[in-house]
Amino acid sequence: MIIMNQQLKLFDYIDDNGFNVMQAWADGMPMQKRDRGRLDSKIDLLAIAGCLPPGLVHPTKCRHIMHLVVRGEVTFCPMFCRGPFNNYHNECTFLLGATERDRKYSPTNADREAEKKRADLSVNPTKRCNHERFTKLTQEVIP
Amino acid sequence: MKDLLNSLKKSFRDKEYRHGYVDEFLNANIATQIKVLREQRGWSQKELAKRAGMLQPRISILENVDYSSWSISALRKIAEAFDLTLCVSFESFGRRVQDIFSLKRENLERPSFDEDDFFEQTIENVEARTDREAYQKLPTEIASEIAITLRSNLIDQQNNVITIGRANGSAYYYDDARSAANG
Repeated sequence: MIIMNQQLKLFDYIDDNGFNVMQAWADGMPMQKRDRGRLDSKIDLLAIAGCLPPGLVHPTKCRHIMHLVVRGEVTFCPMFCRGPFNNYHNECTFLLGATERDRKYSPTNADREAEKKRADLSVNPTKRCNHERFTKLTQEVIP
Repeated sequence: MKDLLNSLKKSFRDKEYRHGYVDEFLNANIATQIKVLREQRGWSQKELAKRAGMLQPRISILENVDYSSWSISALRKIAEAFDLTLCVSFESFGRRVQDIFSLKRENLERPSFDEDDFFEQTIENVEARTDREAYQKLPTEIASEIAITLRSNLIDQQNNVITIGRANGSAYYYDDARSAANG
């Protein structure tokens, strides 16, 4: 578990085609503006307060992988790891977007998939970028 | 932090988005403060439950950012157990954003009545302290950003402190040293 009450720098994993996997996931989900607000709120909490808010970070069966929970019509579970490089206590990298229903992830084995991406990132340090917020669609509709 | 503030300024223009955002933050803020207050007093969840007339599992639920079914009566019980008063008010989104940026353990801690030095102070000291604390809770760069926004009401005050402006019933201060440091 992360033990801290400090600001974290957040990153997103980039796939082999150069796409930000978190943005691709959000754009492919039936995500309302309110859901995007909820999701950004939880992620900002992580960035601002670390693990101070109780129950913010949920462990998975994979030791290095954790996720947030954003409840709504669909439960969103963005998965992330600490670091994974030297700045282990000051950085987190979002690896995969998942949803949860009846305690089962979609995609199935999302935590293991996230672990694979973490391992890939560990040997390909350039496959991540600064975390992008999920407000894209929200801002597009504003004149 | 400055990027985040600018992003919130833009995205909060959408009503659905901003309400979703602050709903989630409100849940997290209450859960976090209950935990911080309990730890400040060195109590276990069981101890707090006993003092509040609840069961420990209930406290565990209340201390979870994902819980959203708050009741005023339950929060009143918790407040009395901490010997604090519950404050429920309607706030502007601008004020809420300040709360988001100041979410730190030390900003959530509160003294119980016996440790509250409020009643030892003069009225003048109390007013000055209240205003200054509102500013001091904010990270410097955010306070700076707000100060620039509110520059219109520039008034010199004593103690090398300048009042930049007032909004939503709160005062914001911006001193010369910070000004120089932030350009």
